Amino acid sequence: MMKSLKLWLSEATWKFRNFTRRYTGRITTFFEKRRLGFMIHWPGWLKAIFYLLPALLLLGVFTFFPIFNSFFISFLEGYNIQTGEFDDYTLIGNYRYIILEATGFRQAVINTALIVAITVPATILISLFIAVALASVKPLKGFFQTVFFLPYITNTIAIGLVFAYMFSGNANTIGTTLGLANQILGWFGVDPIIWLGAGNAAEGIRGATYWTAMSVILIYTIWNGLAFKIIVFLSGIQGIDKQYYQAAQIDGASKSKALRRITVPLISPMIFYILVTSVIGGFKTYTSVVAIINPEGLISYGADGTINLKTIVFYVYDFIGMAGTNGMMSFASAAAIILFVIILFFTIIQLQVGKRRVHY
Amino acid sequence: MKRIPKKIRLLDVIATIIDWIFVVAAIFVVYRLFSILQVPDVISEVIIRDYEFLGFTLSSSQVNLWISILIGYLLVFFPTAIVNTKRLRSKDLVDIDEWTYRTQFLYMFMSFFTFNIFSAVLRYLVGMQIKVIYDDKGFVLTMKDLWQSFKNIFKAETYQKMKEKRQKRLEMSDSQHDLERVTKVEFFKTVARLVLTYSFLTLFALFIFIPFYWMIITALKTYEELNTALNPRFFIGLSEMQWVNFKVALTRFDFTTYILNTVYVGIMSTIGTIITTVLAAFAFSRLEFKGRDFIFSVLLLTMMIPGELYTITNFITVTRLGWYDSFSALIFPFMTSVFYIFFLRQTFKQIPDSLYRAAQVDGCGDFKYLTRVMIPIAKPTIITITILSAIGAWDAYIWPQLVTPSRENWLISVALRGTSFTLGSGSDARPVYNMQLAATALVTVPLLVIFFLLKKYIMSGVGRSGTKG
Repeated sequence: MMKSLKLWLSEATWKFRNFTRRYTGRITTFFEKRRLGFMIHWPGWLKAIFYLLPALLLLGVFTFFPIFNSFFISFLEGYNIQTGEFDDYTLIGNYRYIILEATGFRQAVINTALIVAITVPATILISLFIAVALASVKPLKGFFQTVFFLPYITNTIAIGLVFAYMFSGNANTIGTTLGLANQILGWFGVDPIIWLGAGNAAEGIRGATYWTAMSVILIYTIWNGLAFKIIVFLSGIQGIDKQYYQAAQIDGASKSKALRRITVPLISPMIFYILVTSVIGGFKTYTSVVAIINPEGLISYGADGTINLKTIVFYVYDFIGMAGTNGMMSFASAAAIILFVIILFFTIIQLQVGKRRVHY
Repeated sequence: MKRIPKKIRLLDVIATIIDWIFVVAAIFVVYRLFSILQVPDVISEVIIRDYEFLGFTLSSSQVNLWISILIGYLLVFFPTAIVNTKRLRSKDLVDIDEWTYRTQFLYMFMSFFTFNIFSAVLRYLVGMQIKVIYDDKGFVLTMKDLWQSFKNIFKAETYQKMKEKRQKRLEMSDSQHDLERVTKVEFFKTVARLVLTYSFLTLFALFIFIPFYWMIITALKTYEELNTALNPRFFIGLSEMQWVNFKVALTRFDFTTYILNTVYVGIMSTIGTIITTVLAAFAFSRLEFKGRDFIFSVLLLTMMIPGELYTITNFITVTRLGWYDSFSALIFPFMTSVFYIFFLRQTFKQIPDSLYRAAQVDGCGDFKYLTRVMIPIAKPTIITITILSAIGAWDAYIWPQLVTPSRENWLISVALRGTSFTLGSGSDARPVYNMQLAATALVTVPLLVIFFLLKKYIMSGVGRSGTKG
């Protein structure tokens, strides 16, 4: 039964192919007689258009156009996103407003810079050590590698909520439930700290301060950033020729010296790549703060009043959130371009330094 | 060079099929048990009642216990069944070594202790026969050998030999003593370093792993316990696990909808990404046309620009197109990616030119060459891109949160942040953390499952993307 069906199917396809072959042949000759051969035998540029069209169309609408348009919008005053009307052109007005007049921009820059300055070196150092340790062991290596990779494939918001819970416990009964972090600190004899929650004036418990909240964000950012870096460093270290280490051993170099003089210089391109990308990523911090604190980035019940933990990207999205009001999108564009300039500045500095320090 | 004959392989296949039947049965029972669980009206309550299940009467704690046991069973046997299937399906011949039959005996014990007698017997037979092929002695002979060596310990000859060894060591010269001492110091150094390395790794592995553990364990606790216990417990009994929390998250808090939304958006945008990037990467790597390198370098330049700049205009574009608050707004902007085009082009470039010429001689058109030759060769990279793109869709927060304000279009990240898991309302509202973390676990677990299934592709892909970028 099955065999006869198969036979019939193959015969049918063969017949179909014959049929199409015959007719394509006829169509080809028809076109070629009328000098329309290029319709059948596509020249290179026509093929290229066919293959590139889907990607370029989408990229054009959602990537190339936005870059120019956002620059353009940042020079408009009172821009309405529904009708596309605007009041006037202004060269630096929006930028001036963002930097000098708008409230909280300086705080946003400070917050972001703090996150970058602490998490980038910390994650790079920790992941470098972990990668070196992983490369030096044999049993259980796969297991550890898998565990260290887990943060890469998790939802940032989801684990951020878990972190917030681990540091705050049940926020509604402050002073009684502690949260996991305080419990672990308690084993080492540290008094419980209110990391993110409100205080209780009657019992003399101070609420969260800027630094407690910030440290939770920092810890989460470090946790989140380790996976990718470990994998990249590990693949770099495993690519190093073993002969270098044997030579060092014969010369009597210690392990730490081998790490400093062989491993780090040889994977310096990767360290450099990770440095550049994680500085860029650090300046774009947004989701982790949303997950740990709240979508507003403000803790209203802190020990010393409201705690502002907005990053620069928060600032941009705050304006986009008010898109209905005229002119807000221009402020958003201006803020985003300022962020771009900051990132570009740091990237160029790093590239300049990298030219001298990185061995390719 | 010894290989497994077909007859033993057949037994192996049957055992694996029986394993699969057990796994499927376990999944079915878990599903049925899960579906009979009653959702409480007030989410902080715990319902204690009797359930009718397949003619048995089970109390709530018994249902919880059975779900816990079966999920534990699945956690062990689902992966092993997959590993076995992969091993049997792979066509490359593997030589027999001692681990080939040892694993079979391990599977035997595992099946035996989970009341899977058929599988256990078959595994025993398979393991036995492989062992006979490998070292020409069966179970009985091996046991005899073991018994012999055990008996040797109590014989006088052994002590004689040890004495001779010690004598020899005493007769060694000074330099030999020194050498031995140095090797001893080296040995202790190595041990110390290993201990240090492993404790360092374990510490950080714990740091990485604790959030996952805490998420699952908290999601399984009762609201009562979270509120009253001063110090949260690290372990809870199997019968205390409140599996109904997941059901509440799925039904009461609509996470079924959100997960389906995310899956739909993820699949559509991933299909789009694959089609556009494969075509574009083919054009950039194989076709020759004017301005190819120029267009490509312009594409690469856009990778440096932060996404916020796009977001602003894309928001306006989407509003003007009338896609605001619809899935189109979530799918179309993510149907292509410069990075993946770059990544795929690198892979395509490694395919030798001679293949292309040969295909052309055989009258194979460009498109046919792409689908018949290049895509099969670049399959690992394409799988990697698929997974990374799906992960991206699963993780997306910023853009979905901007363009889909209404609940029925939410994706999971937005839903996790946007849903208020509270009891009561107004100033009296109390957060219900076990529900929140149950929803969180529901969001996290599918991705972990995919990761463990396709670990090879993901990890190698991520490693390569770093080294080449």
